[in-house]
Amino acid sequence: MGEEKPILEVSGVTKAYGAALAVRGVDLAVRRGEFLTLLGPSGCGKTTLLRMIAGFETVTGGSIRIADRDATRLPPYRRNLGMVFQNLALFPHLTVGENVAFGLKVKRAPQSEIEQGVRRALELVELGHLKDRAVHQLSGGQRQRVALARALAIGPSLLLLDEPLGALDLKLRRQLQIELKQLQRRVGTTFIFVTHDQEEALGMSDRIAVMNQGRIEQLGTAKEIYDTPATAFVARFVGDNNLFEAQRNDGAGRAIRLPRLGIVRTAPRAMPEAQALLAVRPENIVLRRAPADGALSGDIVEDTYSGASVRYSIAVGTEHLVATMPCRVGEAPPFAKGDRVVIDWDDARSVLTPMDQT
Amino acid sequence: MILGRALWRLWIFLIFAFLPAPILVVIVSSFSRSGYLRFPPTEFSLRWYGEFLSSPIWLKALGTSTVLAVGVALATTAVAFLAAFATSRLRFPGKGSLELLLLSPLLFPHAAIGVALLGVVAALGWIGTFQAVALAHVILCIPFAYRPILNSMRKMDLALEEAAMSLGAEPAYVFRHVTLPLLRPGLVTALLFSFIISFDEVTVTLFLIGPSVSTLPTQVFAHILESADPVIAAISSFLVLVTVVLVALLDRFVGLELFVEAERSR
Ligand SMILES: Nc1ncnc2c1ncn2[C@@H]1O[C@H](COP(=O)(O)OP(=O)(O)O)[C@@H](O)[C@H]1O
Ligand SMILES: [Mg+2]
Repeated sequence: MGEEKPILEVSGVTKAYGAALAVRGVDLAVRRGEFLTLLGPSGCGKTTLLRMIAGFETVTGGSIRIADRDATRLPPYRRNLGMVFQNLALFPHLTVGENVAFGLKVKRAPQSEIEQGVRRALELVELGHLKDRAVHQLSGGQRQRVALARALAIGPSLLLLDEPLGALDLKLRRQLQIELKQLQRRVGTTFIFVTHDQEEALGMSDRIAVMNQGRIEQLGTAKEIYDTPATAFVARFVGDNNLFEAQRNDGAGRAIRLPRLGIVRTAPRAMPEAQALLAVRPENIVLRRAPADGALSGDIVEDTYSGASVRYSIAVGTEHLVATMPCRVGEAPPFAKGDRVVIDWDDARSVLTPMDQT
Repeated sequence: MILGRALWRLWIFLIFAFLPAPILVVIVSSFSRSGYLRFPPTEFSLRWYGEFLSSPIWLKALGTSTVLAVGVALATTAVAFLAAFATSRLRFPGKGSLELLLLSPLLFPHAAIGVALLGVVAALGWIGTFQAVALAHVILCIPFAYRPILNSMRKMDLALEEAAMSLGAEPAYVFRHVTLPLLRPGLVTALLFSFIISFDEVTVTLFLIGPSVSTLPTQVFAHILESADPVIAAISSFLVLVTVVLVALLDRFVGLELFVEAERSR
């Protein structure tokens, strides 16, 4: 056998609702055993894409292959996928154990196998002791785990999760993120996880597909997405960024002018296009005390202390910049509101992205 | 102020005392010993219950009513289920009109419905037959079966069916093991209410019965035109008992809120 085939291959998939396109020509190859996250703002088509993969929506165009088999027209009950729904969709008329047993009963597995499967799945999520509980007697976090156990019990080739942590409070959410990631490592099932929370995506995923307006704008590891956003949208959506309009200032495209700031800097890469956007992360901005001759300077108009760091909002003429600086215990923050500062950054840590399409 | 409150309470008390008063009078009279209806009875006995349960005419009417009510309950619930399924799950032209049509038996006087159905039944050649009465009862019961089923369908989360499908269940299995159990309260409410309405119906039935078919309530009506013996009170008490028992069962096991619940926006 040659290189391993992807477990899921989405090719040119489109979904139209009337004249509106919810998903526009998505290509995506998911590797066996990876934790892949679809990240994007509400309404960008994440759920629609996931539901087409699951078979609950028909595709308007394109094809879907699951485990090297064409599944484009397969009904959901023939795809052998697990799904964890946004509202979990636990069967209210069944106990925890019966919920988990559902998929095994459908397959007419022998009783002993069902019992063993239920036990194993519940142990996986550490809920073995709640087997006979009614679903409505569970806490939010426990329901979450039952939904996972139910989907994993059938041994799916892929597990699809549509914002399963959305309804939980922040603390429980953070805890379950860690548990979910550990669980995925343990069972080795391929997870496709949907979220609009970029922090969640960065923390959990092997790879992230950033979606916007029905398209995947970038696919890569958390580090790739964060360090080198491929589009202005990704630069804006994932983490904080300062975005400046940049114009080519020499033939080679190595010097760029930032007209709004009135300065010239060195481009992080040769810039072939006449215009682009330069993205600089707030933590990559270096502040020094004024005065410094000829350098870019501005006034701190806002300082927000948040424990490990301070965030400064800086006015440069009519432009606004954001910079964050680490803050150590026992030390006063380096600057305060009203200070005049010199602004600099390492050009190698800035990123050029194409201008917005719009 | 205090006097006002006391008067108000008295008023409420009187309402609750007098609403069932006629029924109580009938029930008490049914235990009379004498040969004519009289309240309060001078002597008590079970004589008229014996009369009811030993007369072939009454027993035949009771049998007809029971078979009719069971059949009507099943048929009405099936039709109302399909209708509620269509109006809650599907999109099609004329959906609003269909809903109005299903609820329309509530809007017309029963006498008018009786006359209209008589025409329909004559056209079908069913005059004076059991199926004519059954058809009429199904039409009358549909609004009462449709609402609780529709309410339970609207309450149901469609993601549950999808969850079952993602676990490998084919549509028939999903229906049997997820949809049906979750709609059970609505279906039980529909069955029992249809049974009660059919079992007690008089007005429309009177238009449609013939010499060979007669239900318990219409037989009572016919009897009362000729004599006023307390067997009628005994039968009426029996009808009240059946209704009360069924409503109590319904309240105990599924609750009445599906029936009363106002239209909820989805
Ligand atoms: N059944 C539908 N009918 C019409 N439009 C829909 C339907 N489902 C989703 N949409 C539209 O498709 C777009 C993508 O929706 P969705 O996939 O739910 O986004 P997300 O999950 O990323 O928030 C939205 O603009 C939404 O309004
Ligand atoms: Mg969504």
